[in-house]
Amino acid sequence: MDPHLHIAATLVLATLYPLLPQTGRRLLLLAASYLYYASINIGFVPLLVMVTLVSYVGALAIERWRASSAPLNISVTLLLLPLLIYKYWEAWFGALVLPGIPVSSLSFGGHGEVLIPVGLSFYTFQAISYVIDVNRRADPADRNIVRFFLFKCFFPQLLAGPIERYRALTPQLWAAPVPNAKAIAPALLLILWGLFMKTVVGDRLGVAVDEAWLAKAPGWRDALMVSLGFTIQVFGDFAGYSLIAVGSARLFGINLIANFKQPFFSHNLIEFWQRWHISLTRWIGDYLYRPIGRAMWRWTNGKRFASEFATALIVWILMGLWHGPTMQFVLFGALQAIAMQAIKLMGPDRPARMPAWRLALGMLATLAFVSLTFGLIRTPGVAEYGHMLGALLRLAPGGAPIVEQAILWIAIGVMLIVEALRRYRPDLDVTCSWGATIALVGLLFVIDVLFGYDQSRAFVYFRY
Amino acid sequence: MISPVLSSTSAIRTAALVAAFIGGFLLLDRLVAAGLTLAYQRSTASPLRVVELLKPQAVVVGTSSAKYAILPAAWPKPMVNFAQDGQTIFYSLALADAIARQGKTPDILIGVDPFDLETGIDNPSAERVWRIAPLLAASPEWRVLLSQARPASSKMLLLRSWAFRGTIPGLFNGLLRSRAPRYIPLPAGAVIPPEFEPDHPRAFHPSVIRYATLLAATAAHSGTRLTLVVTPAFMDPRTDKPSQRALVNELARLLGANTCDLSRIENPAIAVLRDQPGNFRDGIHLTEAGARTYTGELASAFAMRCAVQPISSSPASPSR
Repeated sequence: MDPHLHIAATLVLATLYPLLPQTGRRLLLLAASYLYYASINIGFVPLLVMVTLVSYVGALAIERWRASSAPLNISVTLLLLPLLIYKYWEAWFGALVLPGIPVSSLSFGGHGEVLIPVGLSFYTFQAISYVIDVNRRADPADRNIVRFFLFKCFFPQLLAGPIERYRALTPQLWAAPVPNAKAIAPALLLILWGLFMKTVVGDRLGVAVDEAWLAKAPGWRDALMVSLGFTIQVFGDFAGYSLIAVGSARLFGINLIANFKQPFFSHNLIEFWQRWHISLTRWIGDYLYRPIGRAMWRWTNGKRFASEFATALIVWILMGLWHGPTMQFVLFGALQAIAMQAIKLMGPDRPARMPAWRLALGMLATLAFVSLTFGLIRTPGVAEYGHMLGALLRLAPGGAPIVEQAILWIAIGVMLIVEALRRYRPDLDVTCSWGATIALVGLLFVIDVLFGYDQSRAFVYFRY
Repeated sequence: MISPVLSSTSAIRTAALVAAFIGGFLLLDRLVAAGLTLAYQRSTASPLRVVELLKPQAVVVGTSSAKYAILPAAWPKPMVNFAQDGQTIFYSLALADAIARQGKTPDILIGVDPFDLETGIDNPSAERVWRIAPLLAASPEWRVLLSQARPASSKMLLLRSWAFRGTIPGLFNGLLRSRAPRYIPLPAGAVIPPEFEPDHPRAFHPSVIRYATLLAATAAHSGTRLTLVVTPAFMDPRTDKPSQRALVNELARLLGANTCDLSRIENPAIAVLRDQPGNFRDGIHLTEAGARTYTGELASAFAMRCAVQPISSSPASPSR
């Protein structure tokens, strides 16, 4: 969905929201969330309803029949089914045509005719976490169907997270607090900064990355663009979206978790994944790593390294496959697992005791590794990526022209400076000053309008 | 427990603040747009500023075929050629409207490509009209057309500064130095005889009509003379393409314009030009030598208001 229209509609809603009684506020959020999703494609709505009902009924069944694992297994299977069909059926089993709708898996290298329903992965993962938490008795099954529907569809985080847990989000939504007026300007600052990252940096880089892939004889600059450039594009796009989500939620008095915490300033890959797409990393840890880890521990008869390595490999290959159904995604996941286990082998990780040069070297090495492996997500195929990297190693001359590159480099520089300040000077909070906040909001508004790339592109992670 | 009175005061304050921000954004947008409009009017990124400075008696708009075919230096009166590579009929008509509205140029020559007239606004190329969005955004009718010319551009109906999106570097560049178009000649190329399709019925795309209608009204109001020009193609007299002529004539009728299609005229110079590969870079773009000859002939015909002479009955073109 056009991010500008999304933000404009959110502002209009946020004007109306505080004026309603509590029940009205709840219903407004519920109706607005479903209208929002329907405005993208009304055909997606039944799927969201289905996932919501399956997880609602499944949780009740889990509580009702605690002794049996069947309710949980059936619920998780039913929840995963649409995701598996949409993402993998065509790649693994061939074309499948649902009534009037060709279904295809979509990755950057794919040529799907129909997009995977936007947000399917995210609200599926959220639903799975709910039923598992009910099974673990971490949450009670919700008996209020309206409240549960609201939890599942809350629009700021519906399409690409953050993947919020039931216990964190639902009490806030149901309380439907009237946000403090002092929270409005900082919320707008987050939204507009997120829009800057998406439209000024991410969208512009996206065009440059596309052009680099079209180069018939790629040079080293093309190779750098499809690896490092793509990594920054994804960050600008996804972290930008997450900030828009967090800021939008705050306009309604709801606090979502931060999904990115300056990942490019990580001293190693393990820290990187603790700072990148945090809600998904936590989800992986809680709902994949722990159960698979227990199984691998038993399978390896308690051998720690072997079980950790096997667990990491399985989990990360699954995460790779979540991005797409082919070998390049398996390779992406496997490389993450191998690299992180290798880091663990190097001994205890104590960044506080490391000299600055070692931390800096670690950051560069992490960025290089991440860039090279992220490129696998974007490439049409492993062979094509190998060809690109060959151009990088040979320092082959040439490179596709970059549209509006002066604006692009300045924007990336500004973004990285802000990231660095947030990482190393978290005490610097511009929102302490009302005047500074207003000025920044105005400045970002003007910059977003004038310098956002002039053709709006879909958020990258909407395709997952 | 919060007092309901205090609570409702807080709620009203919050709602009012959000509404104030919305109003503030709109006000800021208007202020920025006004400032940028003033700057744009002084920048040679604006074709109108170029017209103000150079005071031409005629301007050319159109695609690359017109850009390379009509040489201002060979025109008897001051002329500026604004035709650009890759532009479309939408850009040409919109720019012509802006220049006609300014009312300082007596003649506008519109280079048309018959194939271009079949292009619709849904063609991605049509969005190139956004390159002159700052010129057009002041007009409510043109704002609506602009918002239709590019995906997800309905925002410009609300935000005035949206029209300047993507134009800022060029705008400030044009304040520092002249961006008046210059003729850069094309070297001769390896042209090959074209393959001729049989003529077949052609039709306007309906989205062209609104652009043409607006331009016709503007030109009539300002007294600007519009002339459609069809530039030559290598070894293609186009005499046996009545459907293309019909299309161009239909556009001329809509615009209230003359048509200077020298392929309809017995013109020995054009016949020679058309058949000499040295006059062409490729099938439709002229070299400087070809442009000089063509511009001279065009100027002569233009001086006679492009009156059409009947074509002789003998075949004027090689068999194909």
